[in-house]
This record gives sequence, structure tokens and C-alpha cells, in this order.
Amino acid sequence: MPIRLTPPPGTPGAAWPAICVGLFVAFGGVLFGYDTGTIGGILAMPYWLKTFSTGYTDADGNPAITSSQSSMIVSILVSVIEAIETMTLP
Amino acid sequence: MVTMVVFCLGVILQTIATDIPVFTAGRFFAGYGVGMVSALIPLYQSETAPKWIRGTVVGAYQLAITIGLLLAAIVDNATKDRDDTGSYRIPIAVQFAWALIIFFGMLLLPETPRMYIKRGKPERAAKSLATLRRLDTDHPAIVEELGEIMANHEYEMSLGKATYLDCFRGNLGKRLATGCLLQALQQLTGVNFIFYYGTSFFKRSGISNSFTVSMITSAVNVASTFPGLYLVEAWGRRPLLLFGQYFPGMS
Repeated sequence: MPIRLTPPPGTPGAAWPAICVGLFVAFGGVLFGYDTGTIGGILAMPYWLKTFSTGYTDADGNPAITSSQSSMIVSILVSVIEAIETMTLP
Repeated sequence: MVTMVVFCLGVILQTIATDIPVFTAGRFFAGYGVGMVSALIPLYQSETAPKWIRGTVVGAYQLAITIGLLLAAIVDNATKDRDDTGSYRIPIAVQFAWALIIFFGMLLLPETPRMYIKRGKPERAAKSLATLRRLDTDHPAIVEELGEIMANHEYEMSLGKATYLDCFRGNLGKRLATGCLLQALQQLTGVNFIFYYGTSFFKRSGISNSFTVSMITSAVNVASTFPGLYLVEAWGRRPLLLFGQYFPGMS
């Protein structure tokens, strides 16, 4: 069955309010994706690394953070999301 | 509503942070808010959307996630060369815009009919459904759809209390294992690595324009979601899954 964009014939009532509501809350996905995606770039920004580095430097002598620091920053989000999703999803 | 307040607290902490502990705390609260919202959205969508377009509406959420990833890559790319705190504060603060839009939108959104039935308020459920479908509360179609929701709810109640332990027993256990295995294998394809660490990884691999590469990977992600959403209906779930696995397999 291909994706339908028109209601089956004989469907009473309007679908657009529910569709608009559905598409609006889908915007929460943008929030989710943005929050996930933004940190990847930030971890590579020279100024961020300069500000947040605790003294660790990479092979070229530039300020950097250790991999345990970066994994803590990144995945504290993931672990919390996953824990909550397993608890709340039916 | 509450989740958005928690999320904003997280964003504030990340914006003002200049050291790792504060930044991590910010990530924690933002993650908490995002996690709750992301679990609620598909549920809300499937409880409000009419049956015939339900799959597409929920699919739009998946698409929105990939669009969010792409927007993040674009904003990061735009601010990466700034030699002040704006380089990371701007991409983080942009999240306030998303949060505010959702916060004020939520004020206008109706509670789902199913939730009212669950709370034992059928007349409010009828009103909510009637608003969503733009019909009168006593229209036959509303009565019928409401009847379906009620019957479903009563059936669930009649099954008695199910425990989490039941998920692991017998046939249900097998299904749970299949689902978990698929999720685990999906994680093992490493796509999350690309989105979380991709930019640093490309940079360290000696690619000079690592931010551009990240924008390209996110754009590919958005573009391939469209055929994915279409084919999952046109071909069916299993064939598409088998087909999709060829690509990671090849690489």
C-alpha cells in the first residue's frame, strides 16, 4: 500500500486539524535532532576546546579534551533518554 | 510543558558554562527534557491522527529528527571559526527558539481522546475528538471512533494487570528479543558515532573541512529518509529492512 495523501472515499469529517497537530508536534523531532547534532560540531570547535580543555593536548599540541571527558558530555544525554524511553513507552 | 522548562534549564547551563562540569550538567537536563518529549511525541501523534494517515504523520517525526541534525550541522559550520564564546554559545542558544515554539504550541494543543477515556471522562474525550475531526460530538463517525477507543481500553483493562516480567515470557519474549536485537544491530552500524563524534573524527583523520563533511552526512540522512518513509509502506517492512542492510553491509 503506497502512502495515501487523500482520505479513503466516504470518510466523514476533516483530517487537517489532526494532521496539523501531528505535524506540529513532529517539530519536537527537530529539537531532538538538533540537540543530538549540535554537540558533535561543538566538540570539534577550536575555541570550545581552548575554553574547556583541562590541560590535555592532542598529538599536534593543540588544546583538547580526553575521550572520557567527551564521552561523558555526549552520552549523559543518550543514557538518560534511553532510560526514560524504556520506562514510558507502552 | 514541564519537560520544556527542564530542557531550557539545561540549555541555560550549557550556554553559561565555561568548564566541563557545568556543561555536562546542562547536557543532563537538556537530555532529560528531550528524552521525555521524544518518547511522548509518537504516542501523541498516533492518538490524534486519523487512521488512514497515521503512519505518515508518525514518519514525519523521524524526518524532523534528521532535519534537526542537518540544521545543527549547518549552524555549527557557520559559527566554528569565531574566536569568542559565540562559537559554541550561538549553536546552543538556538535551541531556545525550538523550545519556545514547542512550549507555546503545547498551550494550544488538545489532550488526546484516549487519555480522557483512560481518566474516565468520556464526554471530554468526545469533545476532543470532535474538535480534531471538526464534527459534532454526536456525529456517527465520532461515536464510532470513540467506541473503538473505549472498546480497546476496556479490552486492555480486562486482561488484568500485566507485569514487566510477562514481556520476557514465551512468544512475547521472542518478539522482545527480535526488537532488541534489531535496535542493537542498528546501533552497531555506527550511525550515532558519525553524528556525535563525526566532526572531531574527520578532523583528526586529517580532513581539513570536517564541518562540511558533517553537513553532507546529515544531508544524506535527510534525503534518504524520504525513500525510506515511502518504501516502508510500498514494499512492506521486511523487504525494506533487508534491502537497507545491503548498504552498511557493502561499506
